[in-house]
Amino acid sequence: MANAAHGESLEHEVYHTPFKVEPEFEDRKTPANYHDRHIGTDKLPDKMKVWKVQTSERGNVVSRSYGFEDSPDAEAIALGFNHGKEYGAVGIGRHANVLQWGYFDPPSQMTDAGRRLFLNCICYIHRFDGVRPLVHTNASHRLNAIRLAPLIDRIDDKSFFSSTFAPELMEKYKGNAKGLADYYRQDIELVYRDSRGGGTFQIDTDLKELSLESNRTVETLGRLIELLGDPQQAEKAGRLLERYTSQSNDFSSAEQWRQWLSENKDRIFFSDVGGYKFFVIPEGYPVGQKNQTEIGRALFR
Amino acid sequence: MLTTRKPLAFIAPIVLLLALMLVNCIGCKEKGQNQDTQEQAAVERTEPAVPEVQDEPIDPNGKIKLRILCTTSPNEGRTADFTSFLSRHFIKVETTDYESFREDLAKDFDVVIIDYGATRPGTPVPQLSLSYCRATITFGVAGSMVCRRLDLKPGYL
Repeated sequence: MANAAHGESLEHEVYHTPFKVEPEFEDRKTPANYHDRHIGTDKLPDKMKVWKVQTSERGNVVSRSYGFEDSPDAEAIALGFNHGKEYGAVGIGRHANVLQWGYFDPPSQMTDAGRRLFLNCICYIHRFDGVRPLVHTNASHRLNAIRLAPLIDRIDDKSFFSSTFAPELMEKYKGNAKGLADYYRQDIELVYRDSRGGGTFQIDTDLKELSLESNRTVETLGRLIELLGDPQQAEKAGRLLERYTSQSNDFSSAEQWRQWLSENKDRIFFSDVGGYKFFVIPEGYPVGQKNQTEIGRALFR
Repeated sequence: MLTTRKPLAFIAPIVLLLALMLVNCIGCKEKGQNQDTQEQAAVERTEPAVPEVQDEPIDPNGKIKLRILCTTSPNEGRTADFTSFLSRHFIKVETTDYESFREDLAKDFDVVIIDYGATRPGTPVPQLSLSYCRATITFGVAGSMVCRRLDLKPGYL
């Protein structure tokens, strides 16, 4: 990462309290890696508005954007201007009680705006003392299927993809990496990773057969619970509920599922990174402000 | 009489307005000069100016009522840079060794700052468990290795 952050959105309270952060913006040429790694179908601008967080040129590290905000315990605070990853990678971000500051310079070498933001971050993270994560990272976000697909024609070592793409897909799309990317892109809402399938990215054909368009909406969850009452679809619905929730061992009847959904539907979220499951936000759990749209997901909505 | 008082009544507010504008202008200039001087001094001391604190509990000295524990870097100057800056803003700032940092060492503090000053991955990582829940800022690449140990999203990839 370089020494700057993107400046599109500074609405988050961490830019305003207790110290007012007033960055000096500048335009910088869009890095080539942003264009190369851009998985959307739109074109990125030639220049981007950024602000300098620290004075020396070297930054340090950014986190991938894909899935960073797919659970309400995590939020991107600043997108890092970088020369290695995609646009949207996170320079400063919080997950539960930990706020990662991806820049390198100590306070004396931060800009005035950087120092103020650093102080605000300290005050802000204090609010999350004792807060545990709702999910831990244990799966790669679905957009990585599209990101990694172009590599099948560049990397000869097939073992590199052993936990990414099924062997039959590797064979089918050999020499046609774009075809593989499009395969996932067309059904991005149905992508999941199943440990029984070697952990590779798969399209959920069960959901497709039920004419359900996404595996990560609460509406789908509700529909699956409804189908438990349909003798012809109950077995498949039960299998899908086991795939996408952690409650299958707790409930033995459709009524129990309905009651669970009714009690929690406003607090249910789906996380790829957390393991392609639905989770429930506990009552009273502190949720931070969403500063940035989840970049990758927004591309497909 | 009316003819002599009317122009005065008209001119008086204008004079007052001009006087106010002059005072404000001088005030701005003095404020700007003061900021310039402060910034110059900050650069010379390599220390930042202290901005005014808003909406956060402070002590009579204007320091934020948070106790900060900061891990040490092999570069002593870097550690001193952090503690010097943080001590100007927070009521208590102490340091502890990075590699041997454990959660129980943070029990008397409000926020932990984990910094090692590393520029590349591969640095040692403190032995923290997944149940670690103290409010923490992790810094740079070493910080992202800590996040990785904790299975958190900013973890190094």
